[in-house]
Amino acid sequence: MPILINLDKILEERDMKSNELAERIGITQANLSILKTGKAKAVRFSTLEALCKELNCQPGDLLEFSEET
Amino acid sequence: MVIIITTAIFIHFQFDRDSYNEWKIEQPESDSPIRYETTNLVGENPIGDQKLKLSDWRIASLYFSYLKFIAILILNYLIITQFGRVLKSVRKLKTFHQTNVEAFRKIGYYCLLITGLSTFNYWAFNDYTKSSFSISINILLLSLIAFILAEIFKEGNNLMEENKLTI
Repeated sequence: MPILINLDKILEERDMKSNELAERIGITQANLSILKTGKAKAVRFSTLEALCKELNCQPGDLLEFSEET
Repeated sequence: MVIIITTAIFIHFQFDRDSYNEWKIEQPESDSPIRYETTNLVGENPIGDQKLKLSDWRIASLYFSYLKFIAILILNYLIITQFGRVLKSVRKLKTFHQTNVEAFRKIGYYCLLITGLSTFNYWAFNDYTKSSFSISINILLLSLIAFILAEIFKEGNNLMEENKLTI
């Protein structure tokens, strides 16, 4: 998919573990893994809102468009 | 079980035809609206006599009917097996699974095969011969319904997958 999720990068910047983030935004680790690996077909606004709130960032920081992939 | 009994009778019939002298069957009738048939009556068999002596059955026709009957029986068994799998998955709440799409497709193909097998009939007795070409609309319709159901289940499976991958 040409839409990339920069979760790994942001988590590293915030020095946060993915299981901690999953717990904070109320989704399972499996679902967060789907999101991180780019297997997700859609992201709910509520999930995006929770991610932005916890990571203190904008949706544009999380999502990236790349034609190459 | 039915296959074993039929095969046993089929084999015994060829070794000892005389035991079946008293066995009689009705003249075969086709109720399909799409059909073409030719009938020949030979000898002293009056037109009004609808019964045919089993011992008069000619070997080519006997083999043809036996093989056709067994093939249709096996296909029916396969259809029931596939349908059973669908019911089992529904009970497990895995209704829109890819396996059900494949099961309905298989049912569709099996129904098409049954239609193909029942298209041609060849009945040859010593004093009566009937060849007919008929298309069984009911089974053809069943096959169409199975293919439509396969497409519906495929769409359901796509929606389920999409829902599963929406985070």
